[in-house]
Amino acid sequence: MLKADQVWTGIIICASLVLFGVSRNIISGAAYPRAMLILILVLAFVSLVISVRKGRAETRQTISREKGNKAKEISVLVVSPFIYAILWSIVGFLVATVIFLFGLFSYKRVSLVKSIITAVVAAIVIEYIFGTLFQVPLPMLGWLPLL
Amino acid sequence: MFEPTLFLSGLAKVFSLSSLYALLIGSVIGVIIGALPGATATMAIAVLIPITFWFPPDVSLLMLMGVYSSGIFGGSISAILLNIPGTPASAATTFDGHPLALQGYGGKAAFLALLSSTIGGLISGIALLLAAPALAAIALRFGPPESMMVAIFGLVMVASLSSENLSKGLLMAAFGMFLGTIGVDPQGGSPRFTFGSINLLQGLSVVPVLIGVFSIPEVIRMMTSEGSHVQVGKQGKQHLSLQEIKGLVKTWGVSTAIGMVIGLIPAIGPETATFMCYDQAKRMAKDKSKFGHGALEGVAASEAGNNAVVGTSLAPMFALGIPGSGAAMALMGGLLIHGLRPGPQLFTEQKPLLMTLFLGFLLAQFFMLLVGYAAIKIAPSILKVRGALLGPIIIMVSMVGSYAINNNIFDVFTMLVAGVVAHFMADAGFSFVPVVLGMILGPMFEGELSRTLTISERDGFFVYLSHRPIALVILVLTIVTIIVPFIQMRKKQKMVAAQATVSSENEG
Repeated sequence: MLKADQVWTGIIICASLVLFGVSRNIISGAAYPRAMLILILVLAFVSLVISVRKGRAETRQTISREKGNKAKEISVLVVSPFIYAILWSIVGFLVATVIFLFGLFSYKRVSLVKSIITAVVAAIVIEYIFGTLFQVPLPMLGWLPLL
Repeated sequence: MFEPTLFLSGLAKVFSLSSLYALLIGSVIGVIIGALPGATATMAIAVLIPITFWFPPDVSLLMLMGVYSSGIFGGSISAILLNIPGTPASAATTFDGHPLALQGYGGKAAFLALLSSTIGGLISGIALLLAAPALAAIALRFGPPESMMVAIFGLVMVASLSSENLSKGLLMAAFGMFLGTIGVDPQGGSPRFTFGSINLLQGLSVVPVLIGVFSIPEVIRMMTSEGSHVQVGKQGKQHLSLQEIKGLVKTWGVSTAIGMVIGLIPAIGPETATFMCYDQAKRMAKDKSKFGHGALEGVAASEAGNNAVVGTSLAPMFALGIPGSGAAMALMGGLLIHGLRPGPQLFTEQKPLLMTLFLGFLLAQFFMLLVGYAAIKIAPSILKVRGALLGPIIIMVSMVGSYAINNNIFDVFTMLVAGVVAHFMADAGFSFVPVVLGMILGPMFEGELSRTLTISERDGFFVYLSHRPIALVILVLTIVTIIVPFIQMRKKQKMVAAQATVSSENEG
């Protein structure tokens, strides 16, 4: 069975080969990135050889088993920020933030009142700091006013 | 520069109410901004410049210097308590600062970071006061080949520190340097690896990647463990003993020296200094095994080094108009907005102002100490907050911070993708820290390499390099950094093999 680092090294090697092919379309300044890709390929092969010689498959399998128990939780934590980012342009920063925070707090079984208060206060405070003090144009309301 | 009457009048000016007020406000803003992932000192300076336009030049610049100094320290607070550096310059502080917090010494680690930052900043400030023009002259000795070699040395060092073996670290550093090529070729202007995307034409922003690499894995870890944010050990003694302080003097001295030199080299910045100082502290330590598990020297080195950069980065900025870091570049904007042109004439026409600023920089370190002390008294209480509450808020702040860099949602997605990939690759022994530094130093390395090749076209690259002693020394150090771990590994393997042979003979 392949170890995790061997899989990642394989992915890096494949990606580097594809990008090397893509680099043929670059009109100027292709030499330096190509040199970096060649260096990546060489180092990836060295890393792969070291990994194969080390042979710690049993240890790695134990770690994956433990991770499997938390796979669902990790999936939620990985996917939800992407949905939150998409929501910014739909309902605006403030509403999206309250929904995101409230959703995750509820998922982690925080009490309803605490979830709502913390979500609203955190959203307002961060909007004030970045939006008002730092003049960052955070998305507001999105397309909601068009309804 | 150091004339008694000038010194006394500068002292009087810097202790005026308006100057003290400016330094205090700057320090408070700097510490808060520095602690927020995504909100950098450079951003804070850039935002404050139009506001400070209405103030006299000395008051305005004192406030900005307060922000710069304290902002670099502020990043260590979140680095220690949350394992998420508030600024790239505090990335190395997470290696030992956070383990100390997990062991119940969060307050101690934060106080050590503050003390180290103050020491680094003070010594650097004294050097600036006494020898700014001389420091600027040293900066001129670092040409394209020297800057190129420093970039490679920094990357090799980070690679050796961050990963379980050097080949993986170097692989990730090379990957980071490759990511730094995405965008537009700086020489020819043609797009590289943009795949037709307008967002990629600007290249990948470093700060969102840094935020993602540290915050996402930490939040995942935080929210998939029960109870408090961290399983903090029983709260230990939070003060440094006299013996511990004595033991750190050498670390502070060496790290400050390294940071001061790095501050003179344009575009290298405190991000590289922090790793170089950490690596040197580890090499000097008697017990290297403690590093990465709560070594006080680790925190002291990275924080003294990154703040030592601040003072000397101002020397080439004032004397030559060449900023030694990104924040110094923003500070230069503050000078220009008041009609002050950096360069040699500043040292002849604006001596009283410069004396005020240099003295103000020293005073800013004491303000940082005061404000920082108040901050570290309050900050460790964050460790008691449940991971379920803190984690989503950290993600939210990290996403907003990433968005704030360029007001572009693409940076938010960059941050998320980098964080998720970093989380899964970490299990395979791949650290993303060299990737971040590769993205910072890669474009600089490419530019300096191009300039070096152009300059050396007549004589040949290696002949030209042979006439650059500083570059050669750095190259030798780089080669040694690569070879030594390999030699040590072979020695260890031989020892293990020899011991196995002896045990089997004894059994026989």
